[in-house]
Amino acid sequence: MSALSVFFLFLRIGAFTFGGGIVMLGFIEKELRATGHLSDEEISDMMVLATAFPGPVAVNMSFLAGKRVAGVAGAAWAVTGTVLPPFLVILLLAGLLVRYMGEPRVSSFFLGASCAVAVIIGQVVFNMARSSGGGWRDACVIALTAALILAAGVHPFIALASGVLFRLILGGGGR
Amino acid sequence: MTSTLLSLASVFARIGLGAFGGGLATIPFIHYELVVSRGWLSERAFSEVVSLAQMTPGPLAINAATFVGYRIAGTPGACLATLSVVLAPLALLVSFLFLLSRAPGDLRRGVERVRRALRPAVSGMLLAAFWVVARPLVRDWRLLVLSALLLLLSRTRLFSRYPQLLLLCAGGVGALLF
Repeated sequence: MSALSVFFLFLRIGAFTFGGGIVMLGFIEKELRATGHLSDEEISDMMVLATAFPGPVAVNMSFLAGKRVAGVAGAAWAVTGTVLPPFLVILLLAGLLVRYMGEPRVSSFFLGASCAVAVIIGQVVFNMARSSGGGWRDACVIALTAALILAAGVHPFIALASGVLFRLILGGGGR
Repeated sequence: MTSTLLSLASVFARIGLGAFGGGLATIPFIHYELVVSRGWLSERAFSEVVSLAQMTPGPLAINAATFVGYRIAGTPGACLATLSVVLAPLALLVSFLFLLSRAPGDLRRGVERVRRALRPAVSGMLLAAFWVVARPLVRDWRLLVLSALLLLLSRTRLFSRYPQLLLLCAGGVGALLF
């Protein structure tokens, strides 16, 4: 693929994926498959790497896919394409928001919206708990990680690392 | 000014490096760095940033970096914070890929094991993220009623397809009522 078409592919991904994270992987997967340049196996290998590493999943994914279809320049174009739309949108809105954030109407707008955010996260948590195949081991790890952050107030990175370590020690099933 | 920019860069590089699982799972991390440890955002402003990030395209960590960077040091701050949150984890990924090309088998299996162990830990982060966002809401029964209504609405096809529409409606109701 030419560098320019890689750029526009990821510009589209950056502009149309709301929410971010694992939620947008499905959309990225579909777009990548539609290019016809990547096999299903390659795509799923990239997704494993992109989610096992820190950083925005979409950025990792665009780096790996861009590099695969168009080399190092492709990777740079892909990452630029993914980052540019969210960056520009926030930059345009930021000036307005910084000025009006204290206004009562704006505050209550965001207060209402945060109810919707809580509902959305609640559903993601619910779906993850239901679909996790690891049984009691996963449940213990979920509880430990959340408790370390919420009740013990440790740095989230330490909580996450403890969770991963604990899961590795428990061994056994899980996907 | 230079020291502000430096601390912006280091905080957002740290956020990028800790953003396992992406998206909503990074909320406790961003909350800790920006609200608990630095005091750059109040609880209220943090939840506004999260809502804003859900309404606009792109990964949450990038949205938060651009916005907070702008608030603290204008356009240069926005650019620097965004670059840090993107480039720090990419540098890690690049160095790993280099190692992978040297010793493929073991590392590949290692990545797969870590990824599997990450799943429940990331779910735990999501649970914590839920509470970080929901905690300020439970004090007001009107917000609880609104949330219950939104939960019902979110099951409809329109809103499950376009969650950002749910946010806009919820915001509209909030602006009218509160």
